[in-house]
Amino acid sequence: MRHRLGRLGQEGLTWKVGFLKLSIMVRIGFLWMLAAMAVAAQDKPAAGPLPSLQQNVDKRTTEWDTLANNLEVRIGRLLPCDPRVRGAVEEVSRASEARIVALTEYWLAVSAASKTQTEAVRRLLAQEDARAAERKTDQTDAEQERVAVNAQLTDLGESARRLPSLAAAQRALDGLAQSSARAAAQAAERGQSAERLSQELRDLQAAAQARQTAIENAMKALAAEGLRWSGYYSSRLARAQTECTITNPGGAAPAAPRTPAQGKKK
Amino acid sequence: MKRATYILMVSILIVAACALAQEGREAYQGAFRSWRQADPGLERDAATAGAALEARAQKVAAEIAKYAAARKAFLDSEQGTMDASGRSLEAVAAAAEAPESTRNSELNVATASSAATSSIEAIGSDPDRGLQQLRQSIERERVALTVLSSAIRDRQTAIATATRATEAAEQARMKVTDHYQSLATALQQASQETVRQGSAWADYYRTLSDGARGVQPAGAAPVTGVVTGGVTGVRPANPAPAAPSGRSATLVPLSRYVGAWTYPVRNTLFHGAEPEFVDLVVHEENGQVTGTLYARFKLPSGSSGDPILRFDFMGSFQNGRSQSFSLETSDGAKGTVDLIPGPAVNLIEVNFSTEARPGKIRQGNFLLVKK
Repeated sequence: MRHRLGRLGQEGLTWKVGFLKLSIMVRIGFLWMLAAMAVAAQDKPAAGPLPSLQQNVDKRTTEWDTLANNLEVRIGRLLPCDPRVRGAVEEVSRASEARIVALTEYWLAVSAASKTQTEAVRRLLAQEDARAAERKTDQTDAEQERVAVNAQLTDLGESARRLPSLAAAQRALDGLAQSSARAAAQAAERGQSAERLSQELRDLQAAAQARQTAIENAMKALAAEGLRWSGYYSSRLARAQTECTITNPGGAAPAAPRTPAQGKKK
Repeated sequence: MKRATYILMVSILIVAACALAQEGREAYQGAFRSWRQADPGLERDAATAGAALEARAQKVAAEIAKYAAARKAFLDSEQGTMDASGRSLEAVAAAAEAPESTRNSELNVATASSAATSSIEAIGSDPDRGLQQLRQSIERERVALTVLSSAIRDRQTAIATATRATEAAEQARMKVTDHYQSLATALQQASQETVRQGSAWADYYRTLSDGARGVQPAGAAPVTGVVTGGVTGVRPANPAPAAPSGRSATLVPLSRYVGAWTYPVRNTLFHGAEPEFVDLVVHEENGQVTGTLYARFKLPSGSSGDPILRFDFMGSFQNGRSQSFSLETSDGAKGTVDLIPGPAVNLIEVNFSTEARPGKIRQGNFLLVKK
């Protein structure tokens, strides 16, 4: 043990130079990362049908992006035990949480809209199913009218043979009979069209349920990602703590600064 | 909250419309029975009843008018239900984030992970205890980054699935709303056809009465085969009295004004606002004219005006070719309409103007063809 400590004492300078080299390498790595992030972080999400929540997502994502992109630059200028190191990491962590919260709010609203539509589809489907019998009544009524007008036409035809001045009325009634036949055909078409509508509603119901499941899975994935980001920032804090401890074994750990964090807006 | 309230209101409207439609169905079915039972032997007796048939025909005509009105009300109610049903299906938003945003996260994590790996390799197996502590710390960070990277990918997959499912559902929704719209349009056309038939039935019963009295209408045969001309301007079957009936005050036969008219599908003529369709019905009784015009106009794209115009008009025929009547639109605007016989017997020119109302058509001029 004493040998080990002595060796550490002899190699103190070498260790410090080594750490400096390492520190430079790590920071170069992060500078490269920052450049890549700056190139990649050009486009922001487009405004969607839930504008205010979408705008909030955009805002929180931008805030987080900015802080995350600048984190290593900010830390790089500080000594390992500077309390601002911890503060900077915590600030990015809070911005990340705020982004996840904004995304969660957005997806909750999307989910609510999806459920509302699914419920509307269910109601419409029930309505259309209930109207199936009525559609048949429509067709029966139109057919009944057609038959009745044809009966009138037959009677009038008999009369017109006896009284030629009824010819004009006969022509008029013939036209009405044709109109009734067309109306009956159209009622039948509407009935068939309504049956197709029921099938389309069933398709929509299935699609809406699939969408609801997908939205819920996306929300679960978002929650999992949020947890992982928290885990990462905790480990990043732990590294900062280690860096402080090994460069200043007897010194205090990097405490959080007293200034309020910018990212915590909620 | 507003959205939920809107959906709730639309749902209530749909339920209410269904209830009203049921009542409307019973009403028109009852009216239909009354019409059919009013005088089943009317046509059979037409050759023998003579002038006595007129009163019977009028009674039946009154019943068919009730039936047509009830049937129209039912079809309008059904159309309203279809419209409201289609509107109750609102679009659902797509995924919140642009794909770039999640790609950024993944790239950042990959970069950080790569930097951590470089740091770990730089420390290597250096026996320094402090460096080894740091190495362990960076390794934990790298593990966290690896798990995070996996979580980001999982979410990307989930978002892509949700986006695809949302798009598929949206396509299905649009198909359904289009279908509701086409059903609503079909019902609207059926309603308009009911109005036209109601008018044609009224004309038929008058023609039947005249025929029973031995008179037959003058003028050209109707274009569609449906008699729409009124009993005015008729002459007896006996060719002796060739002049129009004394009831006409106009310079041309009343059949040039009276009847059902529509905007032609081809060879249209108009000035000012272009009609999409027009239905005009003109009735005459004892020199008094009543009529209704129902039209839809093509508005410039982006216009928020109301393309629909409906007005009733009334007055008496004047001794002249052009006839002018006072009108009142469905929203209470006053104005005048001129009916001018067209260049052919089955054509009529309509020229109207009304008081200005925001977003409303207030004047028009077009040529209609007789049905």
